[in-house]
Amino acid sequence: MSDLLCAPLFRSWFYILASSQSTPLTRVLKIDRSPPPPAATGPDAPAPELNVVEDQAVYNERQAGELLRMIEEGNRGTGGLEKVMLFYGIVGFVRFTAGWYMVSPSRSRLCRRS
Amino acid sequence: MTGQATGLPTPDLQPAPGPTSKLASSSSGRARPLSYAAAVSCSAAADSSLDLPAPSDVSSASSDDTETTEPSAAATLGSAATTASSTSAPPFSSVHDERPPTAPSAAHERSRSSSRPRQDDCRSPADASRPHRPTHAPPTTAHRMFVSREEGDGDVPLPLNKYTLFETRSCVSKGRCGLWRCSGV
Repeated sequence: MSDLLCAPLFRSWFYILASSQSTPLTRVLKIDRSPPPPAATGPDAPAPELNVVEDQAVYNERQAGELLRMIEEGNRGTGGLEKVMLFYGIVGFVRFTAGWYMVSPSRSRLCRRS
Repeated sequence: MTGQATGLPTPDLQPAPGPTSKLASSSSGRARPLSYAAAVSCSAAADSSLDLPAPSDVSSASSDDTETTEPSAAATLGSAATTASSTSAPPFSSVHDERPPTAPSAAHERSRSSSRPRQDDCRSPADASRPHRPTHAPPTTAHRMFVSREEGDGDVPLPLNKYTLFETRSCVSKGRCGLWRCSGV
């Protein structure tokens, strides 16, 4: 069996929920992480595009939970939704040879001003 | 960088309206120096990236950004993400539904109108010795998007300091491959 048949067949997304510790407001960012089509993976293939969708809405805590539940239900047949990690900001997106990478701090420390 | 896959109007991330640029612009929260504003208006008049937002953009982004939670946008995002969703999007109400809509104050309107670039900003060298007329640096649309009016007078950016990453799994059926194969980080 070739790997092509076992490759992911469905569109896959990252969802980033950005919130604040002081106010329960949440913004949502959606990043396409689908692999490029096999025809576009050759050495002369163009670089894959970074597909980022920014939701213009501001959700409160309940609405953000409803949104996650809805995404989980809709993708239940292909594995559902999984929490990956917690981080503290988005520095930027960089692209190396194969694809895009998101640069984000995973630790934060509150420094006291002397 | 386009949202053609979902049909949503996706902001172009280059150069300004990307997520990182918005965060960076909102973190400053202070007006630019006057000399910078004058230099911009004189030297780069044809630079479209430095143009002010159109009046329609200003009106749409000024007071309604944090108040109107777009039900259609939320529903579209959810339905676009759910490939086989059988549940409809909940009618998300506004985050600040309890607060009545407030009209912009006269001082705010004055400052907004004074932030427009004027022709007399590009002065001749003979007039350059005179003191420059103070102008306000125009607030950008990206700055307004992260402003929470509940925290004060509208100039306090919404601090986004906690990010949670989720991913939708993409598993293939084990009918042909023998095993579940899921995408992962």
